[in-house]
Amino acid sequence: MAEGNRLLQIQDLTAWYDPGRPVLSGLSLELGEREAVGLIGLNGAGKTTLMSLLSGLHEGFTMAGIKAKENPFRHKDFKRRRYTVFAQDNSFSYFTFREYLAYVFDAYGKKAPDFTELLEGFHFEAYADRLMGELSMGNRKKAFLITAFALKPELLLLDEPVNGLDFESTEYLYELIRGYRAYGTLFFSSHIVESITRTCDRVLVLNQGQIREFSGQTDAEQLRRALEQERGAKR
Amino acid sequence: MKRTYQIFARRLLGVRRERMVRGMLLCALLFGSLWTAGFRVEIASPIKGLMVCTVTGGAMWKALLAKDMEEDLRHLFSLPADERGLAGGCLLAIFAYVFFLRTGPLLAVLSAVCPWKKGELLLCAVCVLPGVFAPAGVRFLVRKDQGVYAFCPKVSGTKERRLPKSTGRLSIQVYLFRYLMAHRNYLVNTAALWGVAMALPFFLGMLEAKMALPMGFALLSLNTPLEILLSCDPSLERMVRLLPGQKKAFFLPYGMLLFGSSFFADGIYLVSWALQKDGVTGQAALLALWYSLQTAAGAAFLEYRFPIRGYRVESDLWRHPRKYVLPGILLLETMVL
Repeated sequence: MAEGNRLLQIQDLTAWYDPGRPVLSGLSLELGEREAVGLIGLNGAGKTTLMSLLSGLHEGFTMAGIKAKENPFRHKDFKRRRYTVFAQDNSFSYFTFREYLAYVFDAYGKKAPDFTELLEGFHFEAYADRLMGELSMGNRKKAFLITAFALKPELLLLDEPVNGLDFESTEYLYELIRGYRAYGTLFFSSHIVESITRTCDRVLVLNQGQIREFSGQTDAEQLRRALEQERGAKR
Repeated sequence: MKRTYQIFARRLLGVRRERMVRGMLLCALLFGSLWTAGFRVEIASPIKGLMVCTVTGGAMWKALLAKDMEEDLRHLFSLPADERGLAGGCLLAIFAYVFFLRTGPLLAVLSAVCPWKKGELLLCAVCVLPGVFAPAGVRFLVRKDQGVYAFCPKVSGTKERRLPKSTGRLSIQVYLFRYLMAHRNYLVNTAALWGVAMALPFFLGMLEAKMALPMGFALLSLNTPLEILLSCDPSLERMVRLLPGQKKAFFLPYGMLLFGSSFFADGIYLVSWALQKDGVTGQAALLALWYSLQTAAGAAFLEYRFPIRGYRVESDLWRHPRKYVLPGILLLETMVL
């Protein structure tokens, strides 16, 4: 990938919860500007660990080019360019959605746009003024997704965004992911193969802490075979 | 019942019962240090019994009502197993946890400072029983139509609160206010601390003001629930670390809340002292302000840099050793200055 088009480069990343048992091992990846990249892998492969790391929340890791104790994912500038929607999130339970969104936009130093279309697309109008803590899991997910797509950060990280969404919202989400190239880079993890193949420019398969890349034109069947091969290799 | 006991014991006491061992070591340490110090006090037998009963009962009640215990119990009661055995095993494990980590240290302290008279140990052993069974008993009485399922937390929908449609901009102070309103135990605990502030002059009154006042301020920096607000909410902590600009947007208002609470407590202590000792100087008020600022900054810093993670049950969070760090530092400062 040409350096001018590169948004993020990670080389030789090793991450762990227990120092003797790395979850990610010697992993390298690049994210270009304005692309949608999908990350797929079996349970326990390290998808959420990678997402946490890119969100500046994981501490046990080493990477080529950075000093010990240094964490480039916590730098102020990187924070302002990145937003994450987690697989499960119970934060800010005592804000309404509108209050939460305003708080996030304040944090990023941006003015909140008109997000009526996003509310309608996710069928969330009736919940916008309820406390986040009173929403169901699926509606909470919608709240964070609406915030993410209203914010349009340069790097948007989504960890299992499809979990908990109803069918219509899932289709709307795919539409938003496909259209995100106009604003920035979207990197999302999923264990649902179709969610990746229908939306992404590139697909990364994560297994045993390593990554294998496929083009976005790879169909679901090819990916399934790749995953089965990885599972066979793991055994 | 045995299997249920093992499951909960593993959760509460550690996989290898390491927390039970730590509890016993703590008891030995408490007994040894207090006995060696020669600190002795007379406590009437009924008071000892009441203390044991109250501590055991309070800890049992807290453990039964803990949110993380609620989920476990809900899953447990969905299993096709003997319900009485499930309830019995769970209760036994909670009692073991309470005995080794709560009642045991109290008994160690009582043994060291007030040697047991004839029959007192038996009295305390008897007093433990209502402490163990009363919390579960109250639950049964309130929901007796449900039999042993009264033990299982009630699943009810949340009360829908439709707040006025806002433009959105809302400070984190309002968020923290709503948070506290939803967690009344935080407010009760803080109010109890204010009560302690009022009573402190009775205990420190024999000391001179220049020692007693800063010592009191240092002790009042121990307000556990407000000072672990972020540690209690891992999701909130995660988002506060993710979003940019949170040192100003979150930690500053949080520090102001801590300052307000601490300064109020210190103010109550000052007023109480003034009423008993014929007034305080302006310097004392400035000292209260200084200690309150340190309390607020210190507690906010500890939550920012050293949040408590990996705790097993909610009550362990409230009793984590980190809560003694700030009062310890402030007491040292008092001694040095």
